[in-house]
Amino acid sequence: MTDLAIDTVDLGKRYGSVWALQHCSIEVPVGRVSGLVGANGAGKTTLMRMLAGLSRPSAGTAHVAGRAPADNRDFLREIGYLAQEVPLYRRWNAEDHLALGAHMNPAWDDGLTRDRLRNLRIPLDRPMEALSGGMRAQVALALALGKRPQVLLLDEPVAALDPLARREFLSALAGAVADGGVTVLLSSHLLPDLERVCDHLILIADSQPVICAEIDDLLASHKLLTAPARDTTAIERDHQVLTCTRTPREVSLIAKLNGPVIDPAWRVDDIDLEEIVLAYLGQRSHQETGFALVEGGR
Amino acid sequence: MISLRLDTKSGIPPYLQIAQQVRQALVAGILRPGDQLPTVKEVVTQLAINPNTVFKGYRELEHEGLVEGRPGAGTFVLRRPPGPAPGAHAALVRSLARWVDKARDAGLDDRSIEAMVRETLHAGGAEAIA
Amino acid sequence: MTWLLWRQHRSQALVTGIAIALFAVAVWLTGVHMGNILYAARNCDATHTCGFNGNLFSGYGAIIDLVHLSIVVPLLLGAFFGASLIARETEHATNVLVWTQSVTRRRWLFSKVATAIGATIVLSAAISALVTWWSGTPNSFYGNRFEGAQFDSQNIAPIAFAVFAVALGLAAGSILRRPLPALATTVFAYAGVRLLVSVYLRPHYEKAVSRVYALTANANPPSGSWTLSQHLVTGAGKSADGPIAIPDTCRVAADRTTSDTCLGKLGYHFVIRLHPASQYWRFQWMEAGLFLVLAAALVAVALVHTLRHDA
Repeated sequence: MTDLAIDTVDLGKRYGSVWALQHCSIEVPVGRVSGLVGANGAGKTTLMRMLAGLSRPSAGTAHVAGRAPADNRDFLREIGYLAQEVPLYRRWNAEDHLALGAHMNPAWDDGLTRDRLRNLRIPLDRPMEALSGGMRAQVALALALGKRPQVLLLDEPVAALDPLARREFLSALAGAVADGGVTVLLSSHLLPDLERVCDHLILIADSQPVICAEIDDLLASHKLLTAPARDTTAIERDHQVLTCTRTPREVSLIAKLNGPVIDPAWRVDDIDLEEIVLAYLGQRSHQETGFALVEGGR
Repeated sequence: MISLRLDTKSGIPPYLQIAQQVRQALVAGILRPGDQLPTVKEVVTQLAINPNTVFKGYRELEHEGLVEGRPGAGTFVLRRPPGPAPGAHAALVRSLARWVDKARDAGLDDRSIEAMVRETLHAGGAEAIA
Repeated sequence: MTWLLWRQHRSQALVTGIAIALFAVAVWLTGVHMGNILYAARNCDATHTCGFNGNLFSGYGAIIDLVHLSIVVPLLLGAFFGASLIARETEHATNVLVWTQSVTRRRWLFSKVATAIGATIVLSAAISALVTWWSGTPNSFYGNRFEGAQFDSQNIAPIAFAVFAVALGLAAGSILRRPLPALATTVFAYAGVRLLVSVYLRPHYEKAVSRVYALTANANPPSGSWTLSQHLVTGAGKSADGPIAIPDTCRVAADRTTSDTCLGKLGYHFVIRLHPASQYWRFQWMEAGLFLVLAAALVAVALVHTLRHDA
């Protein structure tokens, strides 16, 4: 039983009568880089803020680095958080922010953080408002890493960056993970970025988690099945079919396989992560309309 | 020292691509026994990929007996992969070129040729098709 | 936290320090000058230098305005300092940055608020001390320290006003979460409450004293008291506002004094309602107490709201 860096049980958050996130039960093992994917407004930021202790859950429980998020030093020491707006003090320079880190964190690693900024050629004496978006994101990342957290929560840190800045940010992040000792939860609505650097995926759709698994497992277990037009009942019984496309000549399914496909008529192909995610998202929207179909006497 | 690349569109898992590129460097003599492979951190920073990917790729090579990981020091080349030297497949390459000419003469364009090759690979070779 | 507080507010502290120093210099120079004028005026018989025209402030119009303007200091503190203390951070989301370091939200908030209140007390006490010292001369000349702007700007009342204004700013900032709306709210609320208290509550802290004066007497309220109202009252006890109909019997009087005596015989007299000078400090403490209690409630609101609300 591996240790879990992030563990939630039926976590939920409600604003008035609207649930921004509900029935969220996810697990992220220690040492993973987990990608949190979902459309804007799906509930990613809501989840991250609860994990960081910035907002109080309306339902369920959460544990990060083995502790429930709370306003105490023992918890705060274990997390690093980077909000979507990349908040920094605009008039301060990087040197000031390093001093902030040093004064407000007992476990601050000043040398490491300075090295990181130096390697990225970020000037320490220019105010934040004079730096590019990419540099600001790097400063914020360095700050979050400098306090040596066990779990790093990054909320869409690269959304507003150009491709080069995005790549540099993910490089820096990957390098920090290679140094060891940190689990990362990185949220984004850009799947290609996550595919490179993540080994774990959480997909949130309509305020609920739909996938929570290691990427290797997902790729191994989700396949594209094609065959000349035929009945699919057996396949649907034995495996979890996500999408089904029929033409007069051919039928193709995307399914999560529960075992090998015995029927030789089916050709089994690998699919990439994006297709898997789309299959789950498509399945959900069909579920909503599918209800009516079932009622209509299928 | 070699620099590694990642082709996200090739359909080949990244860790296998890494293993493949190291193997090719070994075959070509660019990496020699005793050389140190790029550290996980170097590869990861250059390519912005997950460290586990590099670990898995290096482990593949370790299973093949080509490299050895020394804790605290890095991963080092043990030996060249066994098998024919580069150029040993010259005969295969020539017969492939002849086959391609035949296919083109028969009127197939490049894409149909590629599809045919893929189908054959997929089906498992001559025994399966026959 | 000490480092953070200093780093965030050091330029504010510097500017304020310089402003107070300049203010102190101006107050010192003019205060000494005024004192000299009054001393000379009071002793002019002995030195034969009477020439005092009754104007203590000749040539120092601008300074008077400045000193009287010190009444606005609490409002400035509350609006610009109190309202932006928390709200500026929530508007720019830097609160998220500091609340995910290793210092708890609770400790951050308490240090910030305590420092703000402490600095406010020190600042307003300094200004009040300067203004009170400076006002010593005009107080003794005009005898008006219990009234209006003088009451508001001397001794302990202005300190309580400042703390109240900052507390108001903190509460508004924590609820509205953006500095500009918080600033506007603070300004209007402060002005409204101060006005209401000074007009409707302050006169009633103690029961007013009524003094009766004959028409012929020199009906000036005693120096240093706070006059609430002056009325001409008929013999029957009804106050005679507006033009009075002089009864025919007194109309024929040749001059004012005879007319007054005549009216006096008919029962007319002055009634002045006032709070005597001896009540001054009692009123200062009661006003200060009221505003400090309000301030405490507002600070509690700010603390509770900031701690309980999602970041």
